[in-house]
Amino acid sequence: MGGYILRRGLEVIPTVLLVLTLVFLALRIMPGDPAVAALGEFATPDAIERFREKLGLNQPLWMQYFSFIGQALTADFGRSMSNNTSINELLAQALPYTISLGIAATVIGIVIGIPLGAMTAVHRNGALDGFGRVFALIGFSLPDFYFGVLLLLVFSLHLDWFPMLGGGKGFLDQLHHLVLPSITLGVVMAAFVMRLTRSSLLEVLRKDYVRTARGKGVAEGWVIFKHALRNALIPVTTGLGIYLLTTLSGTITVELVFSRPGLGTLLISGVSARDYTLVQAGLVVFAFFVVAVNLATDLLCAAIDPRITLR
Amino acid sequence: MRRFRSICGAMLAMLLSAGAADAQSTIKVGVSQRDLGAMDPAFGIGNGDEFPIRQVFNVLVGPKDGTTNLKLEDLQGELAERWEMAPDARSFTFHLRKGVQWHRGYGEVTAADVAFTIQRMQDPKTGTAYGSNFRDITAVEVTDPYTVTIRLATPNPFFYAFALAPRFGGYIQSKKAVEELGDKFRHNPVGTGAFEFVSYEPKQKVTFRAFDKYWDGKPKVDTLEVLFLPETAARTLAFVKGDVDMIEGATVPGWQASVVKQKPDTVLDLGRPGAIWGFHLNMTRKPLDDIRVRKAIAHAIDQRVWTAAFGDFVSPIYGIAPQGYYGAMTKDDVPKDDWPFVYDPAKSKALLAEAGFPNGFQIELFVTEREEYKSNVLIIQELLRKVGIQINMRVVEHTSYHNDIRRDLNSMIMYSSGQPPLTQAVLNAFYKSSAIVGKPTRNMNFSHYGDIAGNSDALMEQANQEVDDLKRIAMLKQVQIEILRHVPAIPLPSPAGSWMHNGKTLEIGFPVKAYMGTFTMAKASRL
Repeated sequence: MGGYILRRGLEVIPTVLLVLTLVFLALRIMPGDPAVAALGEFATPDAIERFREKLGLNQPLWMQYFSFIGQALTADFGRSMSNNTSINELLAQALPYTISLGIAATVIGIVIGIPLGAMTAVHRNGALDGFGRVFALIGFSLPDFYFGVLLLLVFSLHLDWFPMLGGGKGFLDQLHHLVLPSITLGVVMAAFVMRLTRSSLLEVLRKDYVRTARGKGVAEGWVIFKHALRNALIPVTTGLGIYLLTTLSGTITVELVFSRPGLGTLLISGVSARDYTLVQAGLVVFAFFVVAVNLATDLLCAAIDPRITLR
Repeated sequence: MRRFRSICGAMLAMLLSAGAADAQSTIKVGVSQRDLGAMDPAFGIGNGDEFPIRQVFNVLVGPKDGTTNLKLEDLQGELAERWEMAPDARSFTFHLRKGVQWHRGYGEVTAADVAFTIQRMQDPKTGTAYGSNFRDITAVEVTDPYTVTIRLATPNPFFYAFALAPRFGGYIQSKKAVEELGDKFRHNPVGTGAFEFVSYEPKQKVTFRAFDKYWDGKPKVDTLEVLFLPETAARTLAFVKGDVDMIEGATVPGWQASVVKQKPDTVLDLGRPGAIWGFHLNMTRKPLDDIRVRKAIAHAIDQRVWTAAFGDFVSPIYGIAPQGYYGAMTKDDVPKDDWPFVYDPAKSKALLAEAGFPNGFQIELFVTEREEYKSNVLIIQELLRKVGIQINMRVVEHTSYHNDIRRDLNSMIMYSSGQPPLTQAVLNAFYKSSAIVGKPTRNMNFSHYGDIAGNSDALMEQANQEVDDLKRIAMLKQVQIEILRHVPAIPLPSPAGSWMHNGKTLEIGFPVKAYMGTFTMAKASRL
């Protein structure tokens, strides 16, 4: 297992370097000048030139690239081009909101998706299965920005149960602010997890060893939860890992809809201001999450089924 | 089980009530900007910066509360209690109020702070976008701690309006605070305004508290929060729900009416004179280099379509500057003979035929995705289609748009801009030959007027320097007519500054007529 972890860890390095290079190049190719965006319509060419000089934007591209790689490796991303605040401070303020949203949505997705998926598989073609399919259809069909606005209209504007803006202060207030955004993302995730669990479990339930266990008179609940569901969870875990990345990008939309602080809000604001340093830092953090989630998924699958480490 | 239920019930109640206890004397204002750029007046841009800066800082003399009227006789003193312009308009003397205090114990405002502010804005090392407003100053003389004289290279009766008015870098800064705080001054400002800075949460909000020693009396509310709410839907819902007391409007046809319908106690704060919407024709491009084609475009534009789409939000325009700007043309000033800005599609088609385009022509342009730009170009596209001109429109991202139009890459340029409400400012920015895009001194002259078609630089300069008010106004109107006869641009109806507040919970203290974020909440109170 140790060797497997080391091997997977080493494989991450070229991926990260490639991502960093792509992030850097993509921003430079993108039209728009950070100096014009930061100084506004009244800026004279002189002021724009001074701004570019101050921020190193007139340096050769390779110098800017190595400076960026150095910043990424030392996790010191410098200062925002658009308003001169420390990017590390901005990230430190934003990350807890995005992480808590991602975790809450995942918990909702798992807590609803796996039991519902298991029950619909066990009661295939029954009323519960029908309900599950409708739930999945709605979950997949509703775009998160639209679903978020619907939740805001009903539970915030009309019922006044939940706040409309921001991320909250203090544990309870933050939890209060987290409910609607996490439901927005969690319901879609639950639909995905439910479908995946259902199809995976249906396939496992047809396997010989399940039939054997039933033939030996093992209790049905024991057959499903001990034998079938455990094996069915391997594709679910992989799928969950992939979907978690989708959820991560979904946080951008949800943060905008709920005017919530977070990495997505930072990124959008950085892109519109052509704040290279901020967008670079945000994308590096996103890339780090993607790599970390992929790695964690592989390790989790290996823990569920140790044969994976031998392949 | 009963105990479990009661614990769950208590937790739910706590959760639902969390954050509900807001201070009664807090006013929340939602602006459309994504984040604060800077609260240092040398670097602030846009309403999102302007509104917070206005609460923290004062100018020497400014327009009356809630207005943008910069006529000398209508001004009200802020840090200056009296002021005089020399008869030749080459110097201005300001007499400061005594005892005005800087926030956080930085002492009393003196003439040295005024001199420091001007020197800082003039210094190229500062890197401010507003440096050119202070270019003509030759000397700043501090006579005593409360008297300062500013001398100019050339006569300029509107110097104060360009350089010292709210928004355009004219806020007076504390020498001691700027020097002590350095870069931190940007997000930790020290001013003299009604509210002093408390905290800044990036991408979220800025919080201020009432300044006890404010020279015009302590504000009635304790706390002011400015929230950054760039998404129109989120901003609107927050306002309708009552989470914010005041918001910046959106330039979307029908938006205001729909908000008022959902929240009848809404008070619309439509600031006029409004901003400038112009559709500039790049005269270096074919077929726009032909005056007959440009006139054909002008004759195809029907201003009534804007009124139908936006209602009260827009006002008709008769010259280059919107109505209400100093020196703007009125309906009566419009020449009767061969004026191109009269809706006449038949004449438009005839002019196109005369120019060799009996079946019209196609032209490419790009426009930003921003609503105030895109809506206008869509209207123009439809109007021009009726006379045979087909606009092939490409929508690009806003920052790219501003970058590319300044590189002279577009053929027809929609531009929305906030300028000081003076015709001179509009002419200098859009029609002076030195302002042509691509030149080192470039500003926003996208049509290349001055190098192509005509040139009105001399007349503009003469009007800038004219001391006699009536003569100056007549000259400004003459310049506008001279320029517009060449049709370098189609001036479009002017949009009002759009804010709205909750009439049940908030009283601002005066009607808001300022079209940008240049009004203070110093007299605001909670109802």
